[in-house]
Amino acid sequence: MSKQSNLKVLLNGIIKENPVLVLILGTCPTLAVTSLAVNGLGMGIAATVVLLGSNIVISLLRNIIPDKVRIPSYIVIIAGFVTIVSFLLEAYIPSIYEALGLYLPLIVVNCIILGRAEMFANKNGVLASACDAIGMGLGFTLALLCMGSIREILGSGTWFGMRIIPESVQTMSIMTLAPGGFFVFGILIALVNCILMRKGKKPKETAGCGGCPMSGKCGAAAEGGCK
Amino acid sequence: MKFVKDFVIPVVVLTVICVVVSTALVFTYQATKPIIEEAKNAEANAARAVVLPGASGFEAVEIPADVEGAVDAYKETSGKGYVVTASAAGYGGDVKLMVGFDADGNITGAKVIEHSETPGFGAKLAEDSYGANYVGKNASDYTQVDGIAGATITSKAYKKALGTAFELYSAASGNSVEISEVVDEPAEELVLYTVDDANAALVPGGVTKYEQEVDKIKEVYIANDKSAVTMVVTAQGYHEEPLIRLVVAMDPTGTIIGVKPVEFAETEGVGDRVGKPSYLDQYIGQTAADSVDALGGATVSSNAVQKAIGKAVDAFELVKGELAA
Repeated sequence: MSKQSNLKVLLNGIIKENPVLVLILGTCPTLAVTSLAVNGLGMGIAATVVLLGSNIVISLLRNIIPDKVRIPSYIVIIAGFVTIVSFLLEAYIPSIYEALGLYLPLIVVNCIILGRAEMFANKNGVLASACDAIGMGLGFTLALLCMGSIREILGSGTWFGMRIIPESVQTMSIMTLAPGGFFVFGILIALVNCILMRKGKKPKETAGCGGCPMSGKCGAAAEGGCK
Repeated sequence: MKFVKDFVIPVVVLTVICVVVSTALVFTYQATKPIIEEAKNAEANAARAVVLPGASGFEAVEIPADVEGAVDAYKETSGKGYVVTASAAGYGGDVKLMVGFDADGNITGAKVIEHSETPGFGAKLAEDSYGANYVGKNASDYTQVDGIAGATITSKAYKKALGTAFELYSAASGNSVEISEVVDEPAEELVLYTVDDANAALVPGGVTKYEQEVDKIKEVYIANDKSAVTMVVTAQGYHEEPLIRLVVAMDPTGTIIGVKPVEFAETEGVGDRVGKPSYLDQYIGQTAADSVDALGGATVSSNAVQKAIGKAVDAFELVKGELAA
């Protein structure tokens, strides 16, 4: 991975290794907060900021943190960033803070962040890690924004609060509920797979396995995925 | 050295990380705390300004500890008035009410901020349109605002909370006000009549039974002085059996002069309210059966009464020739 150019690392996160739609990480906040586009955007940006901070710090400390305590160290660092972000949100954008509610503190256990710390930041330099964080964060944000937009337009007839579908049209309120989240999620995954196949790239079949923090040690990824 | 590498270094590193992260948190917390508090205050003030229009800022006022249901009291900084919060036990839980007062103790706005009343009944009192009825009322006349039919307990709780709010206003402003108590209205009884009693009550001069059936109504009575006709009419109420039976009396112009229940086995507390004088007497002076609104929460019984009276109104045309013009 260290041979990849930083730009490629950055772009990887958006489609090819999109954390939500290809690696299928961070599904819980994805489904929960995307009933409105603005919530999806807020969650995406909050997670990106945390990811950027934690990737940089973990990459800086990658030679200092002993292997034995790396996971607790990562979690303390990530939790610190999450708490800082939530303080800042509460102070400056309270509406987003209230909308994200429980899912904001839950960024701590978002697989994307710990996953990138394990898979990338502790093996790569600061700049590459920062690019990876931005790329992954953008991918996450875009996926959430996309889902949030579709669900808001179809479910509430608005987009970022602006009315798109006239009020006289009955909206599909199921789209703002959990089942609608699953519908849109599944359709978007299929769409991204379709795009990747058109480009002649096989969708990563080992996506779940490659995204696993243990992939380096378990070796199953190299043999074609978990059995 | 292996001991140091395996046990000491990890502990030291993790501890240092924790200390550094905690320090960072302390700084962020300190930096954002005043902003967060200000934002929360602004939000609470905006909520208070809804019940005291034009308010610019608020400061908390100490409230007496012995007032039951007192929550808080705030004084508007420019002296426009006060906003107090009081609660009282409703049907499903506490009804918490935020009330604004101008400097003279008149209500400027009332808003339910917390309740667990029944949707469609008690919850109607939480709508802003209901609170608007109290705007301009003071401690002596607030009890005269009507409650909501079908939500007696919630209506009472609302007024009780308002009473407490007046107490808080009085304590906060130092103006002592005479607060009128919410009096329990005596429960109205459903009084059933026999046909004879009903006739006697409706037509004091006595009646004679009309020998014929009129428009399928078997019992028709003409006043001895031919000044009125009474008819015994029925309709199916909420239950299939027994039917609702009413005596309807009309004067020679077809105007209803009274309606009395003979049989009225509707649900207690709901449909049977329709059989009580406060409802049936609304028909006095009417010439059509559909001129009285149905009673909220008792639509079926109200419609049955309307249907029964409608039969009498229709049949009247056939007997009016018997009456003195």
